[in-house]
Amino acid sequence: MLTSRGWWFLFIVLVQISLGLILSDRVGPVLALIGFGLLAWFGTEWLLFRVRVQFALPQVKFRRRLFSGKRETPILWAGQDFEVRVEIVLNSRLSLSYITLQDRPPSGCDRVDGVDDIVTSLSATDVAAIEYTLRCLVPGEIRFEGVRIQVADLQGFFYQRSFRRQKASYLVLPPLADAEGNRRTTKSHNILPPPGLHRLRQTGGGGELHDLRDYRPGDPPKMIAWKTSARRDRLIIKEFESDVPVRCTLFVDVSSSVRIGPPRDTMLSQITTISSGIAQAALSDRDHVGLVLVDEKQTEMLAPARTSRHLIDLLHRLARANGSPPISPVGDIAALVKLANPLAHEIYPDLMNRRINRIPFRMFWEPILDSRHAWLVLIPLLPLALAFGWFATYFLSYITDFREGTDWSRDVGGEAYALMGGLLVPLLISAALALFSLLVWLVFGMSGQFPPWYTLRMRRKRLASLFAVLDESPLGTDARYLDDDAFFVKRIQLFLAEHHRRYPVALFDEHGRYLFRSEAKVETWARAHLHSVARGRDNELFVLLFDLFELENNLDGLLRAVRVARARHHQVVVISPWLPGIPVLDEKLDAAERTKEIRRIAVSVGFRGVETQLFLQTAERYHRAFTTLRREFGRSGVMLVRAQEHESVRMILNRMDRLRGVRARR
Amino acid sequence: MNDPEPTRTPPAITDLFRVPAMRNYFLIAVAALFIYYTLMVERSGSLTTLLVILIAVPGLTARWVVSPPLVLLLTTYLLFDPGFEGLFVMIQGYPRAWSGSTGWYYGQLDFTNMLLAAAILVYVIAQYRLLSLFHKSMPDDPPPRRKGQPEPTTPRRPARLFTEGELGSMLLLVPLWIAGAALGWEMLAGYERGERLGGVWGITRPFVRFMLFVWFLAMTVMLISVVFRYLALLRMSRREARLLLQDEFWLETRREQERIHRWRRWFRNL
Repeated sequence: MLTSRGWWFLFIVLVQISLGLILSDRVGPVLALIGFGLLAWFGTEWLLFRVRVQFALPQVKFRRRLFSGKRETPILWAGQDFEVRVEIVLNSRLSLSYITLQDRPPSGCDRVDGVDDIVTSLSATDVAAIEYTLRCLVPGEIRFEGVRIQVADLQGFFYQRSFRRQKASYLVLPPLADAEGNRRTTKSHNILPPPGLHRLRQTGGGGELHDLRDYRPGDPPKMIAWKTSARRDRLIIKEFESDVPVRCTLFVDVSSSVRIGPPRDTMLSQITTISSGIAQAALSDRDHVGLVLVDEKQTEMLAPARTSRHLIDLLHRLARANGSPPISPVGDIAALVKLANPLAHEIYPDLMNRRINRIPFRMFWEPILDSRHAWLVLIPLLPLALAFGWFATYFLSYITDFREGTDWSRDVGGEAYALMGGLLVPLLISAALALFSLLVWLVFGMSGQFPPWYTLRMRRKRLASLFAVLDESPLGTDARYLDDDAFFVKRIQLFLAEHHRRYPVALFDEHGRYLFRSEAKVETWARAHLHSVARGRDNELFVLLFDLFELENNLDGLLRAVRVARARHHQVVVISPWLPGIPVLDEKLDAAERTKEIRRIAVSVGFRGVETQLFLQTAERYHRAFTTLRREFGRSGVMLVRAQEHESVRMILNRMDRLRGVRARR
Repeated sequence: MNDPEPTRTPPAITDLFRVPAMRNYFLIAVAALFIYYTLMVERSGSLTTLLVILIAVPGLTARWVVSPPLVLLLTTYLLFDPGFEGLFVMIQGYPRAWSGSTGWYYGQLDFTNMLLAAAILVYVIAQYRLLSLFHKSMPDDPPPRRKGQPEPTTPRRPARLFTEGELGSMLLLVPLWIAGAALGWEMLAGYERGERLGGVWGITRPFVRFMLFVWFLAMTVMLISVVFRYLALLRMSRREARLLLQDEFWLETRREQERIHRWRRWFRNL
């Protein structure tokens, strides 16, 4: 609470008073009087500050509202500006004469205008307001944590920082502009459906002729094909196609592997952008669009529909799916703690306070006897134990002799000399070993007191206690966080992800294996796809937006599901997100040309030596995998395209046009 | 309405005369220093008092933060050794010739003593409030910065927050603080006048005063802290209380829990 300025002032005043009192017989009361006056003022200021901090500070309340244009909005759109207004009031009769308030801006947004903090004074009648404008560039979720409060006195002697938590999450939906603004202008009339494509199997009230058949009593006369009837000399009835809208189901991979990377440049952001573009364009043509979110274990389905509410719901789900980074099963604890500790101190200063979240000195003692190095202490103690046993045996024999009436005092000197002479060397050796053992025990025990273990353990303990309290976990969970690295790593990543703080994600385990390669998710995808196929009607288009790299040799389940869909005359298109940083090359290039081109790109980017080789290997492997995947899916009659190809949305829409049956899209 | 974007650039010296808040505190501090000079001249000489004033001026005009502590320390020394006479004697090589005695006894509490204390108090208050306005008012405690964010600004109290009431209450309370200080002195001296402790076990009267002061200060701080701590416990949130109890449990059982988790690890790694 006291600042360095306050501490210095207090120290000088106390020195002045002490000298004034001790020398009061010589200098009189003036020095003490000056000191007492200063101390009285300092004490009054401290008391007033303490009362304000204790009673007024918790009564600071605020309300945050988001405006888009002039209207308050509960949802946001990527790429659009929105204004944040925070109104702060003090519900107390006390006043805060000097207070700094900062609305903690969410991650993933750029501040466009205004400032997110304000320096003001607050009383019961005042309303402080913070106004600033933000812009989110990518769809997802943003989270406002609360308002950071700093209070000081007028002199700068006392200072208190606090954080008024009020979590508020908003979904940032993908932009709507492309659906209406960038509609295709290319003419796509007269496209014939592919031969053999079983488009519609039902007759209905559509506009296109489906079939001709003989007249049956009860058929409406207006359906009679007169010319044909005249030619065949019997009544023939026209049957029209059923005007069934095209249904498109988007399968979106939301597993951990697509979440890797910077927030604005992940594979998932590519996928969600394409998905939202397809959904909006299709819905603008009144086609049904469904969504299936698939991760390693779970599937979340949204049945196809075509209402605007359905579109908002679909975009919500996409934005929510895009909100969190991946959780790696392993990680660098020191690096994660270094990120989480200041964040926890900033947002939870009350729970990280050392008065509550204590760090006892004894927690840094490392008991060697509880470790696998216990033998270092125990083995050197063995000679001492043996020597002690030897000594005890001698001693007991003397006792026995004494009881039996042996005159032991007669030659006590010689016996004692013999005893000591025999024992001296072993005793000295065992004492030295015992000393060594003591030293090891001490050094091992004290090792926890020194950095970096000290700092790391202290921070980890505070975070462990915080996590246990936030989760309302059962007693003992904090100890598990301290002793179980995997458990702690998972929770600390969750903590950072919840608060939208970026952190390093370990991609490989200690054996060099890629951690996000999951064969189980292929089965989940296949199940989800078969489920949709089983419930599908005619004219279904299944768009699979999956990250298939690293799994090119384990796609049997998915390929089977795709073949089932094809066998039922559905259309399937696979869009694979492309790893950011890997160059997209012309597919006509042969292997040598491709290598040459990748090497040229590596040099132009600035890679040198090993970096070039690594880049080359990675890019080569990626392109090879893509070729393999394209070949595998091509065998099943399914097209595989890269997500980075800007034509992917248009390609899907064209495919839907085909399914619709050569209808012109304006 | 929001403040304009704060900057790291400190206010110019001309703001001392232009901005009302700074001007008021500056003028009050100057007035206090004038009274101080008038009263100290007769005690420690004009040159040494002028030295103190010269140290005080950069604090008022050039944001020299060491100035007020130096003024206080120098004043303390000058009241003990007016005109640096004793120091000169020591420097000339006669350390025993100067025993620290000043030869000046200011007597009992009188108006000039109280006025001097008031002048110093007013100067110190005005000086520190001025420093808050045009130097720094809070410790540098910015939130963790993200990449691309601007440098944190120096926390400085905006002059627009200044109210006339600040000056009024300060000038009203200074006599009260000085009266309180005089009362404190009288209580200490009065308690000691009965010589209940002085002279016993060779303890001198000034030292008894010092001990009494230390005891009184410690007791007061302790009592107030206990009261605030108790109030804080009463107002503790559910999470804070849970954390406190959870910590207590962990402290009692941490070794046993460590062993349990060690065996769990061992089993997992089998």
